[in-house]
Amino acid sequence: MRARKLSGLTYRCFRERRMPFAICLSICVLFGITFFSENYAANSILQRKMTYGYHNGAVFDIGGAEEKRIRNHRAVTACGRMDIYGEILDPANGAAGSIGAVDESFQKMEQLAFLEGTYPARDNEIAVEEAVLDELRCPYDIGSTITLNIRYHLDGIEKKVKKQYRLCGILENYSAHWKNEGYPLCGAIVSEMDGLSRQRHIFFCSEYREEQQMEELKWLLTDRTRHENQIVYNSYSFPSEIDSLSDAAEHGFVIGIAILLCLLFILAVQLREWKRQRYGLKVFRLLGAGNRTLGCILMKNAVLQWLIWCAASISVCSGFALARFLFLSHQKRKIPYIISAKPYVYAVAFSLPVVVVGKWLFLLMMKRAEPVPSGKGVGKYEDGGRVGRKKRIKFSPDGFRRIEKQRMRKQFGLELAYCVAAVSILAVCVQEICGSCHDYAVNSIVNSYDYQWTAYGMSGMDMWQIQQIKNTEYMECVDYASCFYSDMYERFSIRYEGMEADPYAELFQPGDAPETEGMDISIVMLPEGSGLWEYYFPENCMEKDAFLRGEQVILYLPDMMKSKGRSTAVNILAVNSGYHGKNVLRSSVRQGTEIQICTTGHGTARTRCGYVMKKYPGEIQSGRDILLPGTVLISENLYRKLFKTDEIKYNQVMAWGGPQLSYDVSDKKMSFVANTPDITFVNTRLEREKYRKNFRMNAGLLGGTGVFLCILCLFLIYRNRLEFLEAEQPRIRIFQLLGMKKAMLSRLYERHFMGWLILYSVLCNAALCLIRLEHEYAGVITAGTLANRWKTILRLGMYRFPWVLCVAVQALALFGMYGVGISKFTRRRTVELVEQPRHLAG
Amino acid sequence: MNTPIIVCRNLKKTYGNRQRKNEVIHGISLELEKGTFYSMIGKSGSGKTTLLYLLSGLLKADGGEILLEGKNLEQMTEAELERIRRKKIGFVFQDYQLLPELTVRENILLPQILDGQDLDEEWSSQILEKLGLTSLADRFPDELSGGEQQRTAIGRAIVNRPDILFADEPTGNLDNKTSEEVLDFLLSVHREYRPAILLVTHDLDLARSAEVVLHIADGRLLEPGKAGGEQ
Repeated sequence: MRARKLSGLTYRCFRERRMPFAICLSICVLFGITFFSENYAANSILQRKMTYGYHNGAVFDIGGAEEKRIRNHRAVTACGRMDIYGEILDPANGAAGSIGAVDESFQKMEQLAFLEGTYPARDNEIAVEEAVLDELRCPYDIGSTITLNIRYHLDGIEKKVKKQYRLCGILENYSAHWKNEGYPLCGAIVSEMDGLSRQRHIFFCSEYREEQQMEELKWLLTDRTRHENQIVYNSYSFPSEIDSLSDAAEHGFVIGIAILLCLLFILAVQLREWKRQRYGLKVFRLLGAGNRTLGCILMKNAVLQWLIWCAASISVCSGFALARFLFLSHQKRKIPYIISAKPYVYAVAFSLPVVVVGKWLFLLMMKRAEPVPSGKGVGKYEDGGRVGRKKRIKFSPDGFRRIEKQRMRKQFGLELAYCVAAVSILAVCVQEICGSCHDYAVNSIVNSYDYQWTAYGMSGMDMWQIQQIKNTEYMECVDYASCFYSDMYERFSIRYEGMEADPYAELFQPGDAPETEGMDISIVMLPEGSGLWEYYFPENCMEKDAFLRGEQVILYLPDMMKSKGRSTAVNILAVNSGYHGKNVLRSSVRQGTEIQICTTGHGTARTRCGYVMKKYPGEIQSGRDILLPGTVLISENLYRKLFKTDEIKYNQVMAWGGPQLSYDVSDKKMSFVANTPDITFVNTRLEREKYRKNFRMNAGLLGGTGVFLCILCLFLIYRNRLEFLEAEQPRIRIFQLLGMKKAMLSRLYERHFMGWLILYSVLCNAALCLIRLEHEYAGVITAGTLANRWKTILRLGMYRFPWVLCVAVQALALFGMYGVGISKFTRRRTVELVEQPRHLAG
Repeated sequence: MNTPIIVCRNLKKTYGNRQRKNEVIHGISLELEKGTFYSMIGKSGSGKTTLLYLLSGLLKADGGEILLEGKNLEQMTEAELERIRRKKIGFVFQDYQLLPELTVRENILLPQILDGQDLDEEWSSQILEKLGLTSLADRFPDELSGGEQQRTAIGRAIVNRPDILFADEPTGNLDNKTSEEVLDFLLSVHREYRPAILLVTHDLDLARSAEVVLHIADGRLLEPGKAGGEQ
């Protein structure tokens, strides 16, 4: 009975008028964020499927038993069949694509995107992939008749037939998104196959609810006769390369941020009434109520409030969801609408802990409301506790200020600690975000094209092949050169005057070779027409004609560093950042030095050094990085002279293209150009996507957390300062009664605060920078004096992070914190010398 | 007759708001002469503390004027009022209002620090001796009794040689014996340094020690009485 009465009393005394608002807001925010993220995810999936097709898994060349197992697997939601029976031949009798049929369930999965038209429904109809049409030089008109040369096998006999079809659909280049490992996919789809199925592929959609199921699916298909890689995933729709932790973080951070935001609402609301509440608690304690009992009762009040307002908020949310549904149902564009129990469950399940934690934090912040002040904390004298001085200070104006400083030490120390914490958190977060932003930016520059196609091989290509690649549609940039690394065919070396005494040259000598053998190098032949020419040739530093004639060469001899652990080591990163330390070795080769290029299989050539390249031309290393330290760049003429040949082959060919240059297209169009197996196709767009995702995730997760923690620190500073100034009021009143000047009073309380903040901030950043770089480049930066180390760190730091952003954010936070303190102080400092009697106040 | 240090005419003070006004001082006119010891006596809520605060410039009056050595307090800026509090006025409060981090001597010297003066150690020693605090000079306030703390407060109030000393119930927290001691110190300070003193109290016996006793009731000043209990 007593407890109930007390509960009723406390409810009235500690009622926070704005709390219902905060609870409603929290629940609505949680609901809204979950609702929108769920719908956003559904929309993304739809968009992705519309763009790249619905299939997210396939098994090529599948057998009957396996097909059955896949169809029956619990993770598989839909399954379609594709049969290949023959090949379409181009005019030169080469294979332009495969021809086959798909079953009805495949069509129902409705996911091969058509540029125009649809699946074939009649015998003479055909749907053809865009790239195949392009290859066959067929018209793109739906309804037009096309004649195809088809090769297939029937009863073990190869048949070639010429058949006319009516073009009923043009497929987007879907096969570009599949790593089909050489298994052909349908370039043309007919309704009825003329021959027997040569290969059967199964395409399936899996829900991908959990990693385990997919693993299980993988294992199911990986039996003794089948290799694992025959099950493949559409890399766009199946994010197999994103690990589960990142995935969880990406999806979890939204709700995490929402929870933190709600916590802030609750705390902010309570803060407004903390003084009244604290006083109330003191009085209740004085009257005999236990701190614990009061805490429990307040918590109960909070839960009661939550119960009442939760119901109201959920009703509002439901109304909102219904309104959105009604709105979307009138939209022409198909926008997925999902309303599941998840937002409701999340809103209810997370808001209660948020309210309870918020209340609990608030109670902690109010400290223990003791009925008789304990004399702890700021403003002890007011509470009657003993406040002495640690050491004798001669009483003088300066001494007085020192005494005051000493007294406020704890207060300012605490504020500084919060500031340092906030600054550190921000620094770490911003640096991490900047790091991922930098990676993304670098990757965007390096992989500026959507697709990269490289051919590197021993045989190399002729100029006419290069020209054909250049003339290929969608090919935007083609770079080529010839690279010969020592020991690839034979050994290459250079000799120059004084080489025997040059410690730099020793780095490039194989252990078993005598010193007179020369310095091991790589040779790169740089053709004038290649894109690499502009990238590497130093137009302003050497004569172009001399280089082309072979009278001069370019040497890439970067500064090298010795490391403690090993005899020598090369640190490209440090070299590119211009590191100069004691243990750095520099080449003695200068412009004009006469050098002899030697090959073990062909001969030698005498030339001069036209230019010594110390580092890569661009700040960022790009896909054009073909140089190793110790490389000589020569012209075509010198190449002919050195290798005694007139035939020039380019074994390093890199081509870049736009979104149309998919693997499928490039494969089909390039295979006839380069008869080399060393073709590498890189989907750089996907790489970029990964970096972008990483950057966005970092920005959201770390940014949100960082900002929240900073706001929390601000909140603590605010509360701390508020409490301090409250306790300081009598003291300030005494000073004012004794006629202390306002300026003096201000100086006393605002002393050096900003200076200390900046100092702490700088030290904190420097320490973070040191820790991070030591961690990142451990084992690389091993030598040098402390000054050199700092120099390197600063240079690498500048290279690594956009510091301006980092400093700007911190400065903003610092001023924010300072501003909070000062504004609050200014208000509190103005103490009424005489308080108006309450009984007369009206 | 001494020259007046404070003159107030038709002084009015109202607390509250538009809906509910409480006029606590009803047109008081008064002259306080230099070197005179005044006491002000009245019941609780009669307006004596309010009048003291008005006269010392701590409160702004709603009507009338207060002249301190001929200058109107109402027209003074904040900085001028601060200067007057440093140089012309001394305060003694019921709750002493000492700084606990400073010793007795330092508390006494504090107004000089705030005024930017060189510390007059000799003068402070004289005050300490006069108030019987020499042996306690290096102690902190929380090591002192109530009477000793109040004596320290008196010392602090007179260190800048003010022209007028306002004492707001300085014996309110003290027992009879200590109250008498404090009063003796105030009287001796008055005898020695001749500042005008306005002592606010509700203790009739203490009030009678003053040269002039002012009676205040319901915000109005009654006829001033003479020392020795003439009312």
